[in-house]
Amino acid sequence: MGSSALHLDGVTVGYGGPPVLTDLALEVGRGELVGIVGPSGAGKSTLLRLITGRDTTHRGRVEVLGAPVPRHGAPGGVGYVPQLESIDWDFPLTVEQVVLLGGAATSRRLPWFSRAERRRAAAVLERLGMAGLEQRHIRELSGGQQQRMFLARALARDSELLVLDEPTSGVDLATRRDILALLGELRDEGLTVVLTTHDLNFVAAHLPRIVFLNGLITADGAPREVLTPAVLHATYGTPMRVVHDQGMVLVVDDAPVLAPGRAVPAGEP
Amino acid sequence: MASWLSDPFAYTFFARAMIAGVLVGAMCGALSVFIVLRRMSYIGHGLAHAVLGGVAVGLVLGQDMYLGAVVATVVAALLIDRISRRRGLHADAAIGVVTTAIFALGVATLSVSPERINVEAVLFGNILGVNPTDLWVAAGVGVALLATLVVAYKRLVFATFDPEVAEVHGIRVGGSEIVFNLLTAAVVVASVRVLGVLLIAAAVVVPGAFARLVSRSLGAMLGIATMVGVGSSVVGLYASYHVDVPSGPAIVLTATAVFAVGFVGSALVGRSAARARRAGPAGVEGGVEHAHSHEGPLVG
Repeated sequence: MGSSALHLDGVTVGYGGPPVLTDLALEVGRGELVGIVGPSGAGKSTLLRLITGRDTTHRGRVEVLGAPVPRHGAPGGVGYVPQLESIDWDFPLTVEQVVLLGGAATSRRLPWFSRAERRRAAAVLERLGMAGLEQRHIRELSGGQQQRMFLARALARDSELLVLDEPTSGVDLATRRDILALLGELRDEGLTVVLTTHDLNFVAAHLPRIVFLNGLITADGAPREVLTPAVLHATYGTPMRVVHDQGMVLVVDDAPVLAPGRAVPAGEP
Repeated sequence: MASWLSDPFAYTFFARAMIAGVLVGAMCGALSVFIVLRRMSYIGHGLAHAVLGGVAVGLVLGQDMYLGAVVATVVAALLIDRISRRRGLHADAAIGVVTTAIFALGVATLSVSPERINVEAVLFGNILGVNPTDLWVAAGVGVALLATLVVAYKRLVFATFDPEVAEVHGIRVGGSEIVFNLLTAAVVVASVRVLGVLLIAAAVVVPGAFARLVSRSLGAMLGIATMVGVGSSVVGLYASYHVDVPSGPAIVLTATAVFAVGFVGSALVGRSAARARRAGPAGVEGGVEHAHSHEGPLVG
């Protein structure tokens, strides 16, 4: 078993036009918690597709958990958590059924799951603080619970590497904190976590390591090292300031985006 | 009343039609759940049009009706899959291009052929025309559908609910889509005699749509949709016999009436549940923070 959870070397991806990712090199060790940040179109989703074996058009070397990503099929040991917005929440499934589906590929060829599989799903849900919610319909969950359910689905197949696409998108501040804390706990248990986020202040700044991406890697390191105006400008192409306050790093706009407006009294057209 | 129910069975053709109707209703009902959940309602419509093209070309060439229908729908299903994988094109565009082309080919072939074909029977279904071959075809497709649902159920549900993640978790989503399209094609072909090509589309959508209105569990949806499919076939075939209308419209109108009742009923239940929630804390689900404000007509 190698020490690397993720190893990319000389990876270039293009879809007939200019490359989305160019000569990418990235190493993520086992047990790391890493955030990928960058503007829209920077190649974050493409990078996740590479890691999860859903892109076979790339050039270069992609190894996941010590093995090359197969050209056809997904790498083993990878759990993927999609964006909540991509899910049909009215789909007629319970929390338990969603978690059980995580093991569908290796489950026996019958329409129902075994008692052992159900026990295992219940144990994973309990581990993530979801005990008692097994029979809830998925639309009855809060945003944080929905994320936990998908994490449980990923863990139900013995994932060693968790890949999350915008896990804090569309959730409130308290839920965001809960999700980050949970990912930290999973990292402490030995899992490797790679996530993408647009949220520099409330997510990326809390992570031990951030990778800035904009077609290529513009910076890679701890937030205090890489959250700098120069890196932000190189990645996002817009001037931003970085404020250090009580040990925290905060990214703020360089200047007000809109000119101060005139207050319009109520009733005035 | 008893004679109203039993008299038609004095005729062999009606007994055959009833067996075929029950089989077709069950198949269309079960399949409709996945068609509705996959938001592929257009595929039944498209494949049915392809059937007409295949039937016409097959008959004009002196071949069995089923041979033409099978070739046309299999070709259509595979082409739809191939085209919809192309970046920027979705299944609806692929269905529109492929199936209407095959339909047009059939119509053009009919117009230049000296062969006379009962187009109305192909379009709207004809219980008088159900023969033993039709029963064997329906039974064979029914067994294939049942076997596939048993063996591939979990994988099919995962690929339907969350195809992106299913692929990462080792499900061959592309393969399951091809299998699903071929199964749909087989059910459409087996339903032609009873339902007619123009009305198959409704039969593979309406039961699933009704079940989605009144159920929130996938197992219940499958059971309800299958029962609605079978029930609509039975009631529709009696209506077809006694009122002398083609079997296809009678079956589809019955299913649509069931859907209308479900639609109104679920709306009323939803409204009274909302009123109960507003009335007091007893109606509020304790401790559940609703992050999404879905207003759905789910009951049960």
